[in-house]
Amino acid sequence: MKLRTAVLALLTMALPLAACGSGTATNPIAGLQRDPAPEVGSLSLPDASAGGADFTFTPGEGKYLIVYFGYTSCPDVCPTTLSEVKKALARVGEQAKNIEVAMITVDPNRDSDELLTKYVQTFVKGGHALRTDDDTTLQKVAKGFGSGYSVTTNAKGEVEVTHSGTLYLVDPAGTLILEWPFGLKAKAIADDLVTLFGKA
Amino acid sequence: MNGMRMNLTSPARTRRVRRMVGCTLAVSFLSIGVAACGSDGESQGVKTPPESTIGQLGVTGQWARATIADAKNTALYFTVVSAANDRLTGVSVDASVAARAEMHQTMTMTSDSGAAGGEMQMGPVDGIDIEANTPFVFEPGGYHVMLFDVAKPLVEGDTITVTLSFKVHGTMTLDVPVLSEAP
Ligand SMILES: [Cu+2]
Repeated sequence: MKLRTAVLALLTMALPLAACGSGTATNPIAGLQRDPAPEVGSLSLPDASAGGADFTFTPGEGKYLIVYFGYTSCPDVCPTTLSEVKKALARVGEQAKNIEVAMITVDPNRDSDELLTKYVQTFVKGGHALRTDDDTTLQKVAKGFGSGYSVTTNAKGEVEVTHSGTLYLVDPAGTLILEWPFGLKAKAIADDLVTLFGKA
Repeated sequence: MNGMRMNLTSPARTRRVRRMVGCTLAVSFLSIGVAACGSDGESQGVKTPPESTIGQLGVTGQWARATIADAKNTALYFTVVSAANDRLTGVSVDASVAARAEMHQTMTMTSDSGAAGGEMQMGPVDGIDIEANTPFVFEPGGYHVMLFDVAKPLVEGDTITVTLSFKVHGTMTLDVPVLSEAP
């Protein structure tokens, strides 16, 4: 109950930001913070954009990582969110070089390494395409982020996918410090990133 | 979070209630962003698609999302306003565009895990009631028309033709511009 209240309060606070906030440093953070903040630095997945090399969620000194769980045959929510990430990075400007983006597919059966890589890199140059065929590994990572997903086939033989619409922000040490819920605009995301870099 | 669940007896009902809460939040979020940011840099360079009307029913703001990489599915959006109550009963495109078009709704469920955003899922809807003089908005994260298995990639600058079938107003053919980002 406590978290729910906090989430609602934060959402309300975030609304002016999602609209046309003035972008000053005094703006509250639009993203949501979980207490305690999950540690995801010990998790890893193969990075299809780097020949399957092990990718750990520890961006390293001075860097941040944006993580998204999605799938490429998602035509509505995923491109909407990744477009906002793309626009947010453009707004951040120079510091964007210190922000990495990784998309994790929750639908590895249909998302090939190549397709996933192309998909994420359509939005973000150098974006990481994380993909594993081992569902146990994927579940472990999703659980670490507090993210959920399911892939099922309905009676008509159509694949149905559910996934968290959230963007996760991981700090240099591998702590999940912020979550941006679906629907947040690029400006709010960019303002949060600028605030973080200002503090660093 | 657990307190929420304990107050409600049936799991099915719990999920429905949560889903509605999630939806409302997501929708109000979006509409506020759109309404307030007319002059924001993000809206610059927007081409206004031609409006289509039949009788007292109009469709505005239509756009289709360009396909991404080699992905085969995409979505399109528009707003319907009718002077009279009506019902959108079907959408279709020529096979030269996509194998299938379906009205879809994206729904958000409030999370059980403690994470901020609930899981999102989309699924087909049979039809959509259009209330007189009330704009019905198809938009990202809400109602959309899904295009399955496009015949060839949709590229920004393309225009596709979509047929909408209304119970009262009959069929309408709509030219839909392809954009790489929401207008
Ligand atoms: Cu859909």
